Amino acid sequence: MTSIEIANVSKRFRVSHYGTPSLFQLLRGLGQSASHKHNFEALKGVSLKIQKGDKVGLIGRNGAGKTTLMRLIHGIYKPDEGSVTVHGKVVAILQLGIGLIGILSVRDNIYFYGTILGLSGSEIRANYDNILAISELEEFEGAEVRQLSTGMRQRLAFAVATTVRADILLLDEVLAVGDQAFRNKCYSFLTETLAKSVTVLYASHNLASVMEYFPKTIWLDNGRVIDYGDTAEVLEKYKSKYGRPLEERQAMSAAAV
Amino acid sequence: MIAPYSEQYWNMARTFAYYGFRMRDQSTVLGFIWTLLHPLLLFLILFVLFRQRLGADIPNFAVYLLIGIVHWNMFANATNKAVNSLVSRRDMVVGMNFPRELIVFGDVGAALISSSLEFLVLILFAAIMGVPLSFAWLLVPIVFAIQSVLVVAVSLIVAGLQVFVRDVERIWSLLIRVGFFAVPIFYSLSILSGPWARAVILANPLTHNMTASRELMLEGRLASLGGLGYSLGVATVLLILGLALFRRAETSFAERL
Repeated sequence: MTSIEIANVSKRFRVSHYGTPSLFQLLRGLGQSASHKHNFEALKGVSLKIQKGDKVGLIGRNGAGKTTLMRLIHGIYKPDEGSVTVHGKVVAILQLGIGLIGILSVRDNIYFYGTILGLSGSEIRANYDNILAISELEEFEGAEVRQLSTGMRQRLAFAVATTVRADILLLDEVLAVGDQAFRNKCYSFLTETLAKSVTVLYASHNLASVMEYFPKTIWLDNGRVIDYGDTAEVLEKYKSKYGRPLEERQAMSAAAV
Repeated sequence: MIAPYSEQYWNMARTFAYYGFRMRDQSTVLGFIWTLLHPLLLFLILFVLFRQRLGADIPNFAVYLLIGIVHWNMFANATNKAVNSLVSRRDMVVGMNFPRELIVFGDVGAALISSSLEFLVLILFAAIMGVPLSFAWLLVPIVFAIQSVLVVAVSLIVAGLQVFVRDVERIWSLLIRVGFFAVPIFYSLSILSGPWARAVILANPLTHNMTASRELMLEGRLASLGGLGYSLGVATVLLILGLALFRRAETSFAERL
């Protein structure tokens, strides 16, 4: 069964040189040529099919269109051309902590952030202790979130976000930040999730983690799909184009000696 | 994606408003007194200035004036806050998928909670000033509700516009400043001589809301039911228009911010 179907999708962004126009600029610009702005085509005729339960890695250089693709699947952007069809509830952990509010307490933030992510009040109450335990913030329950360290905030956001039951999970590099303990937690969450029938799309520059957890991989470059298939094969092509990560080079030279 | 007007949608709207209100630092009595200071000072100044001039012919001028100020403040505070609702939460709009009007509802809801408290203070003040209590006072919340519809409608429109034109905020705060004098807050309609001035002021639904509350509280009856009906009509039309415009623009908010 298809989980995500992307058919011939293009997405352009207007790049304006002065940001949001003022009223005056808007009126003046009405009869003028659009020389002061240009279009940036983030995705060019992308077609993809991801089956239910597939675990797919998403690789590509900065600006290749990974985030745009994620946001299109998430429904934050609408495609200019083509169509995006998604079956099931999408949860995206693209940036950790953007829904947190600094001047509210950890307790209030769990409720607020949970609500934005689509949890009901009773679901949050039922999972409250668990969320607090995963984030390891029991001691700071009443503290304002702005007083927490960056890592603590990420743990809090992660703990809430992972409580939401999803059919499709979109993950960005976020999971690879933080200290070792937090990363381990993220990876054990990943392993757990991968065992379920959830469809997972994981964007990362960490090729080793893609290799380890994701049987299939999409390679995007310059808004186009370069390759989509078995992870080992895709990664091999990717590496032969852009070079191998440091550890691999070290291992290879060690083997040569 | 959360379905519009579902149970979860209203749950989110409530949560946004509740925490919005908490963030305004008004959940404490002291915080509330701070926000009351502004309308009370304005009231004192206008009362001292106009008691023997514009207010000389108005029975119970003190209560008359405060009713005007509280109505005006409700509209001005909520819409001024709403202008920046979306642009100040760029991260949330770009990173998460939920109906965007909830952000506006939250800010407006928080402002309306403070306004309802101001209405309570107003009623207390009227009682202290010796205005005879009557059952008509119980109808003041209906005026409040009608004005809330107007506030929500206008808020949606200005919040959406601000995403596309960056000086809407400035234009709006200017309009609010000028508008203060174009509504009978510290004078009565009878002093207006020119037909134009009269027409402009009578076209404003806020005028009719103030008149209705004044009649209900000071005279214990509602003589100008037609005016209130007109106000409700304008508010409803603007709400339908505002929601339609907002829905149309909603998909491009994330791209423009």
